[in-house]
Amino acid sequence: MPKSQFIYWSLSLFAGVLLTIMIKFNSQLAHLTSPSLASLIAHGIGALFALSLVIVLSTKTSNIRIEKINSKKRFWYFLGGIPGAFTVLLSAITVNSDLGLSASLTLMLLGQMIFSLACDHFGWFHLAIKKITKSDINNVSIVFIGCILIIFSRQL
Amino acid sequence: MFLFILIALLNGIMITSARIINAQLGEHVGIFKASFWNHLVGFLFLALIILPISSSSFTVEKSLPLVLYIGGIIGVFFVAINNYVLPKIGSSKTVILVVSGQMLSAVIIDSIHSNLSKTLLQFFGVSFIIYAIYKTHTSKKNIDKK
Repeated sequence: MPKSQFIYWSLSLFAGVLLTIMIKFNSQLAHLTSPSLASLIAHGIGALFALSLVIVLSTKTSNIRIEKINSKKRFWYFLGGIPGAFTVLLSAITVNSDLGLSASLTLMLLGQMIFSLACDHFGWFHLAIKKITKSDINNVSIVFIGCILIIFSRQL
Repeated sequence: MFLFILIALLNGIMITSARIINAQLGEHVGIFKASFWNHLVGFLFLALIILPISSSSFTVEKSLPLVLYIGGIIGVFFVAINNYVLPKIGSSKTVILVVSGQMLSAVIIDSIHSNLSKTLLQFFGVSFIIYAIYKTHTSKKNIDKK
């Protein structure tokens, strides 16, 4: 495995760790306010913090920037925050339904994995096309089984 | 019930779309600027939907301030890292690895106060995930030649 690949892999895993810590804090906040209000606050703080980061890092070297030569910037690239924010509302619906937390999480993961495979395979959202291989499907299934075991063990 | 299953699956699609779209923006404006747009647009969208329907008053409790800031700040870095990695290794691999990191760290945090049967089952779950990471890691087909 090339060195650069190793870095991307470690960073992705680290992003998952960040997600766990973030959810820990945000769920505490949600507990003290409400899930949607907590998300609103987290987004607001995030926007302010990111803005100050951008200003501080606005020297050429520190802000990692890779221009795509052959592609145009499209206006909907700016709208990724909408499905991101929508997630909070949909989660609130399913977690409070008969599905409960565990089944909701599992189905959300399943949706994420299948949809991301489809996006890679068909190049949706202008992604570089990466055809699905058998080993991709194997790995997704194995990770998914692992997730189910972990998620449902919480009920023990 | 079926409707809720669909909504939960749709939620997964929403999460992936959000990550991919923001990563595409990151390719053009930089990963931190894209993270800023992600949070700003999300904030405005949520404000538009929540504030008109919520009448509950927002009471600030003593324990709030730290919790208030840290989640949002971590989120900025999470989105930025996602934006950096996703265009390079593809969306499905990013999803698998991020979810794996999330699950593994959650198990570690959980195991601090946990019982044996729970820990055992989680251990099985963890071994599945590590096996998959190892498999993808060693499979030559998956190494980008770029």
